[in-house]
Amino acid sequence: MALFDMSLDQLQHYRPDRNEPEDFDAFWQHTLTACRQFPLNATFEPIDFHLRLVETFDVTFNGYGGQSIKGWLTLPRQHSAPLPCVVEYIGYGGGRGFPTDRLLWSSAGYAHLVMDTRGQGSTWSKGDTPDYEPDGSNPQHPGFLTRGILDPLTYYYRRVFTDAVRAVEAAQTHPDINEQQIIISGGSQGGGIALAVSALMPEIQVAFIDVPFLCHYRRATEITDAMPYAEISRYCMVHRDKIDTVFNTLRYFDGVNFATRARCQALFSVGLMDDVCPPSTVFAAYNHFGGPKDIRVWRYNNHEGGGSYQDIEKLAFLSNNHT
Amino acid sequence: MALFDMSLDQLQHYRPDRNEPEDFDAFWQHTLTACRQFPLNATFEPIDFHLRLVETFMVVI
Repeated sequence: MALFDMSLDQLQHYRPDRNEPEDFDAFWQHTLTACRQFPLNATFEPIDFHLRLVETFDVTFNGYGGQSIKGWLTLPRQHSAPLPCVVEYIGYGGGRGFPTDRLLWSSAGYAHLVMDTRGQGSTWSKGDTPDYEPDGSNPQHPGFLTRGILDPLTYYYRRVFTDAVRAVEAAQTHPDINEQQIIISGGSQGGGIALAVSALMPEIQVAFIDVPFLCHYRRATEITDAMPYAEISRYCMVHRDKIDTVFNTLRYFDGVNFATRARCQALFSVGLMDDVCPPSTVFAAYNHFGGPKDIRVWRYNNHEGGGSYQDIEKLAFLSNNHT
Repeated sequence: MALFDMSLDQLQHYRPDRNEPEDFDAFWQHTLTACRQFPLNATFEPIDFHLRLVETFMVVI
């Protein structure tokens, strides 16, 4: 994929009007308050994966609707004070896998909690958390992007973003984790989830948001045919009479609307040739982001973005700015 | 991709005749002996990737 979106100069100034419902904050406050009526019940069961430098724990906590969500916690074995924790959200279709898949953050000396994405984890890495569709939902295009999309209350990502907030709260209950030092991180869908959490949890210190998905949906569906945004387009192709309803729901889940509410430090990344999460959708969120921010621009990359280069950027960022 | 090769039971017993040149070992002995005429000069330069549990070195041989 060659360049197809705006020029870099245009992107750096692209700050579209936000399409935001009046009750956006009330919607999320209500959603989180309702979820917090259920006990969190975070548990950390040690599981031995024969890793001598780190400890690994099978994490279970109650997410949306008090439903059980899985994750992994990895901790450096030797540490004195409670550790800063990186909470990581996974890209589309993936699941929590095994702790051996993701050893970067614990090798760097941080606690690391990976959250399973409900219902996913059967495309490229293993997940162990089902999604329970509520009453009143709708048939969907294969995938998750139009699951429950006809009503903000039934939309799939209402449950996922709520789980993501509870994942941070689960990490904060662990005695070896400093609850004040929470870093959230994710690429693609994981970046979209991290954007939501950065707005919904004022205590987040740093957000790493790589090639984020779930931003500026209308433009995304109009400038790319690539999956998964195309799930929305295909749904609208079939349900010609539901287009306004679909995009009304998505206003409550748009990374652009979350970005403006965030106050933490953020490091973004973007691929200028990314047709999965087009650069204008990323910059729309970045330019609205409300905290101190920076972005790494990978000029010749598609959705893989900066890859290991970006990992090294993030390690250096924390080392230089944080702990 | 569905199964297309031998059955697992066949695979576990599949030990075909080797097609091997007479000078196989000599070929590799010669190759390595020739290489070892050069000094190895292995160097390990520490590079900081901000990983606190491990040390990282750029290796040049």
